[in-house]
Amino acid sequence: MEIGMFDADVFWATLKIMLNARGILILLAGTVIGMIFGAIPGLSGVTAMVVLIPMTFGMDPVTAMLLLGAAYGAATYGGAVPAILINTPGEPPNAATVLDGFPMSQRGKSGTALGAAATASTLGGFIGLIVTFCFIPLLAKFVMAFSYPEFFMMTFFGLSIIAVLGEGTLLKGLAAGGFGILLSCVGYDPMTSELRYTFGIEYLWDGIEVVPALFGLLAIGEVMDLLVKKKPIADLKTGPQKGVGVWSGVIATLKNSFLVLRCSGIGTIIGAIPGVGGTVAGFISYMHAKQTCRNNENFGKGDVRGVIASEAANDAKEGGALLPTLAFGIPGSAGMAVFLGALTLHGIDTGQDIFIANLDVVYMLLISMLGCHIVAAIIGLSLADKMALLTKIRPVLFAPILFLVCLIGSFALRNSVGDVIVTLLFGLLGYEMRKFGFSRIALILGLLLGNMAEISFRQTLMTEAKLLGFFIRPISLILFLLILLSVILPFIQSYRRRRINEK
Amino acid sequence: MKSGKEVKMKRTLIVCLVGLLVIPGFLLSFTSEASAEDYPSKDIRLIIGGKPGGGFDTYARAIGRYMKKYLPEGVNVIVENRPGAGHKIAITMVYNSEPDGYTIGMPMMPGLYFPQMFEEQKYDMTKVTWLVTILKDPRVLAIAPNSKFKTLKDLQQAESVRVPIVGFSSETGVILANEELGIKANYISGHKNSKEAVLAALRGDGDAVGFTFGSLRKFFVQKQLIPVAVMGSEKRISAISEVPTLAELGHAEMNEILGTYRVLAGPPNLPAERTKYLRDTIWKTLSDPEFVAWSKQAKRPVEALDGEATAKALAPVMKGYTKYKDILKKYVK
Amino acid sequence: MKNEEKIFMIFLLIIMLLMVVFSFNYSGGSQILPLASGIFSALIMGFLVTMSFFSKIISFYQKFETKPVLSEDELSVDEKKREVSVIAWFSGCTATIYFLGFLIGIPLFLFMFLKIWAKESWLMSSVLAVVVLGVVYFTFIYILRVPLHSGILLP
Repeated sequence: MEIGMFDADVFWATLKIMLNARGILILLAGTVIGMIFGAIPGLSGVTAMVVLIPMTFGMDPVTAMLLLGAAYGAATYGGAVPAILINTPGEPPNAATVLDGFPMSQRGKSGTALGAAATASTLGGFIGLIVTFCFIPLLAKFVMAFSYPEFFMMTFFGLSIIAVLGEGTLLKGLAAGGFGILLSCVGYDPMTSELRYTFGIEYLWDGIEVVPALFGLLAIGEVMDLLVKKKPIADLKTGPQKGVGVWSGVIATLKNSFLVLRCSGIGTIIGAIPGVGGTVAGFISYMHAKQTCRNNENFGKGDVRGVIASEAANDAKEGGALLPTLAFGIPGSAGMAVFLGALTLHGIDTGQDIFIANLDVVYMLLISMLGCHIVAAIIGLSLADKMALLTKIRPVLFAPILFLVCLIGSFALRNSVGDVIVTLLFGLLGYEMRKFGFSRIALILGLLLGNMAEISFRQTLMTEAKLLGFFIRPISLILFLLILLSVILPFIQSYRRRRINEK
Repeated sequence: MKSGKEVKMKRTLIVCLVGLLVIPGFLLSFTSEASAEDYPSKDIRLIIGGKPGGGFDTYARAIGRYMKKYLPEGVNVIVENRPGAGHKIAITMVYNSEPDGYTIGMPMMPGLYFPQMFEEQKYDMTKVTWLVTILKDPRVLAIAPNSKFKTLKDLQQAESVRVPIVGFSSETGVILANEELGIKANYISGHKNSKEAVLAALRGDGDAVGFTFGSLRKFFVQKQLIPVAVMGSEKRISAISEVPTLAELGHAEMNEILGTYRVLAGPPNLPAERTKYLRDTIWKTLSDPEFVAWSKQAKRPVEALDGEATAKALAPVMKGYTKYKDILKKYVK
Repeated sequence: MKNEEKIFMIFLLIIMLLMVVFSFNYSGGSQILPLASGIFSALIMGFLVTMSFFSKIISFYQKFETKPVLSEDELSVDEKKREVSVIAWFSGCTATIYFLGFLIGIPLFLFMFLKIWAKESWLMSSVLAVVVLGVVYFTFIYILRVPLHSGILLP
């Protein structure tokens, strides 16, 4: 049975289903709902799908996939909006977008950022899906080659980004990152179920959840600063505002198409590897962009290429996540898991037979995820300028509402009031860190990846090769060298730059 | 000018007064006293420890949907997701709730019994009111296709067998089975869920896995895993009829206690009539033709046991595990 | 800012050291990461703290960094006062939500914060409080059926 062989008749037939009035309406509805859910911090594309699934009961599976695929695909773009405007990623994968997106808002360029995000998301989503679909057999073999040492290297790669982050100095970034990793140890030891750092508090058994901490650190930290300084977000005085507005963002993305291609590739591959977690995709892609682009001193201060890199990878990774989902029936991401559930609910078997028995469903999923990007881009671009106005609102009105939204969003995550308290505490921490130049993203990266790195590291120790396992496997070794290179490169670059300046 | 301001102030004062009256009234509408006579008169909460979209959630929401037919007008079943601490948070809430028949749960059995064998917990599964068993899912020991081991005997004779698991407390069934069968297992824990553990086996990081039939069925159909023993079921499983049960292999006692149970339960000391009402209503729901159709279509099998039978089945299972406490102590810290 | 920063860093350093100490309680594999990351962070933080007391080291290290090693700006007196009050208000809001639930905490906090801290008009404060409550209620309770926390003190 050939998976990945393209059946043109089925494809066109499926496409026709989408192109009538009802199809377009459903695509539109799904896209809008997805964007809204993605944009509200605390809700996500997965939540959107869970809410929509009951509504699909009356539909046939193909139409159901149209709705769900549209919502899910659109949510990843929606999440970029708050990341850019209020330094709060709508979904964890959008976290890397705040690195340059928010500084752009601070300099009054939020329109550009939003335009770039919309374009990069769309292109990234397209590339991710098409690459995955064309290369399923090849990618499947590649994915099977990833084992514990490789997982560790991927998470280590993610952690090494701390070395190149913008906010604050390297030392402080490392301290923050280390602290984040330390905090990630709170809760059950994932391998032995021993409790660490819980001090009898049941709430801490599952550890510190990243999302509430993220809201606190990034959003509430900013909100508090807005209130203290009584200035709106877009306030940093920069030079004459040339090239502001949505279309400049679109053009910038198109100008950097090679970057988009590379970042989408990175995103696709990371998304295809189950067990790593798509959140790193944006970060690794960002780091790649920073290292390979010319004139990269402005990364972290509002370089649009940072936004492009993060968003392209972010949307491409979902395309990649389709791979294990379709090839093995093993979901590549939380969203894919819900897709599988929805498919089963509609009576579709999700093993490899799906390519024989229900090819139209597969194609519809593909089409809806592609189509929603186009719709989302149109909506996003037309609304971007209005949304950019948010950054000019008087902070006193805006800040307390945002504060409440974050608290509610944290609660909605898993119905736990403890998360709300965590959000507040991390909010205070985030404000202080912001004041003194400690990179909050570094702490988040540590919190996010610490545990994952620990698991794969210890799993590697359980194999026959033990520590050597990292170096005798080719992929792992290559990744390790890449990490070394990425960490050393910025030092070499700044050293060279200083030599040039001194001359 | 002054009168203009006065008017404005008066207006805003009125708005505030109205607001202050409306808001509490609005909020008071949430506290509804359910009279003791007509039960049920308000919504029933079904608290689960799984996340939205997962296995528990799917069953729970389906049952909630179809149960509405058999409940009085206006009474719904509201599913609440309280994930955390391996389902302990959810069951603790149910256990400590008022035994008034308005709060029920879907505990993971026998998983939730283990912690209380070693340390006192905020709940006691032996005191819970059992309402129904939705499904008893046997476990299957299976070998990865690329492993150097091909049969059960190979596993038993091997020096060391790599077994990817999720965590020690959730895989106690496999641990006990391996001990009983004499398989020297090297457990690789830390996988996020059973699917990742299976993937590990498929790519050569593991030799054998032991998960529920429900989670492995797909892999058997696609010949991606080779089943070698069925545990926790008296009969062979029809889909893999060539595979013997643990009882046939000479371990009947162990075989009895290794199944996993999907159950619905209420807090301890639930009054008899309300227990009966819940048991009957749930039973009607599970027999409902629409529900049955859903179960077939969604590939979520149901093989129900009523409340009494459930209690009868689970008591010896919990007792049985207590016998093996010392073996398990090695792994569960 | 110098003193505040020193206090903050020392505070973090103490937490890190405490966590390192606790990590000795954990067995074998469980100990690796807490110990390693704890010592790593504590060392760096320790260096930062020490450095903050000796300006000679600061100026030496500054050569390697493009950004200021220790934060330079000073907050104005007004801003410092606002800082304390914002922290107090936000903490109070969270406490209110914890004890009385979201549906009471949200309008109460919004109304009082807007009226008292932000000195907005009666109209603006009450309207926004009611509107936000309405939107939250509609979205989370009506559409999503999320059981918003109803407060420890209430039945």
